[in-house]
Amino acid sequence: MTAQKTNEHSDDELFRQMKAGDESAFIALYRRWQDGIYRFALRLSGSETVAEDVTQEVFMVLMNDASRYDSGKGSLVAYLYGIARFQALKRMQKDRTMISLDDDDWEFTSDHLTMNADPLLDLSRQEMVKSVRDAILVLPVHYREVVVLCELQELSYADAANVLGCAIGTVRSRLHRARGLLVDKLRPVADQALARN
Amino acid sequence: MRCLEFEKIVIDLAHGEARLIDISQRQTGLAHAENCARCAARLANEKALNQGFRQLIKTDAALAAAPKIEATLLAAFRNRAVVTPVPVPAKVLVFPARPRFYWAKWAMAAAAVLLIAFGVARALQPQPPDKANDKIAQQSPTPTVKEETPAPVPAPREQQPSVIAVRNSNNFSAKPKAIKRNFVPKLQHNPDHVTVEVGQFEVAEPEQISAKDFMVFDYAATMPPPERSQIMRVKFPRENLAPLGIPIPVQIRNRDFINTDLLVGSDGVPRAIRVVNK
Repeated sequence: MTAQKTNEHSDDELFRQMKAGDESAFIALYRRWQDGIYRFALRLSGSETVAEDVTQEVFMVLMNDASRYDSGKGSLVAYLYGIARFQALKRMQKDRTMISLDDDDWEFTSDHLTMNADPLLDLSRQEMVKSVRDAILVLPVHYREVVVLCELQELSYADAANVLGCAIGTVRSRLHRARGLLVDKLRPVADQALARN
Repeated sequence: MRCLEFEKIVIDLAHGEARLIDISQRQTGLAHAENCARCAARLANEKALNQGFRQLIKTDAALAAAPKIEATLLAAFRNRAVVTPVPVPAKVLVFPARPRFYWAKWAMAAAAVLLIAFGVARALQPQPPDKANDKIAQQSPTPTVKEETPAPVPAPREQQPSVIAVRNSNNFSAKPKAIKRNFVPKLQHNPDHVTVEVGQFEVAEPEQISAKDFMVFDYAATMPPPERSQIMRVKFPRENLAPLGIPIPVQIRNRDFINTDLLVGSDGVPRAIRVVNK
């Protein structure tokens, strides 16, 4: 029954049924979105424990404060990611385990444009995954969250703006800067890989 | 196209067809990259970064929350489903929910407390000597004997009931019927009856209110009946109740604070009081 609901019903439909007390609708929503929420929290925090806590908290909020969601203001998934972001940031602030790059004043200028010919392409898959993951984790939080939302969770700019509570233009500019930081951060890794080969 | 213009669309170009940008803009951008080595490298780096993202997505695809979380949430949902349907009795709702004026609730509560304090202060004011003497004269020299009297003699109309006169009898009928009629229907039947909960006050349950427990303050007998009445639960220091002559049940006599219900008119003046035996 739950599996059928997962495939057949829209988020808003399931949400209405869940509000009316339908347990299977709640489970269907959970199974539909829990992995994305978990991965989002994991990529944002770098901690599996935090990711699990955040995932649980997101759905606790959904069931207990269902009236806070207004479908007119955005999609359910944006609402869920918004809760997850808030919970993850709160937890990260509490734990103080994250390291941040001290480059908030980083500006993208033509000096950052590289002359190297696609150096990152030579990274092995394992190295690339680890390097990209690590590089994302050391981004400043406001860049990290936009990269995770737009590039890894593949949310639209509009949904990401909804989650972050900012304008779409802000999402675009932050993403642009974040990607520039990542390229800079990954360049030495790519150079090392090139030297090895 | 210039390099800075190319920079604005390089991310969309790197995403290829997945990002919807104007076809002519895309073609112009790609043409610029063919002629500009720096922008070509920039585009290559962005494509490589996208490739890294895709690899990361692929690697993490199987990651999900532990199954125990689903079980925990399911249990919470079931518990919530049991609790949610319990209706709230309408009479206990003091004020309608008005989020924009949430401060009004506190302001009204503070005003109510001030009015109660004023009313109680009036009740505790010492009586004029001649009036007090008259009341002492009415009082039995042995109160316990008078308590055993089954049917107290109703006071004459011109002799208004005083706290001291009430002290020796818990029977509400000892007070003038006019006063009794004024209070009883409003307590039991007035749909506008409200209960205020402030600080240590407790919500009184309407069905537990019984007029016979109340003792009318002496000054209240001469006042016009209020349009509306409220019951307010107040904790009084025991020593402050003693001058009012209110009998305190043995079970709670050793407490420092005694729970009382004040019957307060819409003008804010307390009319009667009763001791709550809990």
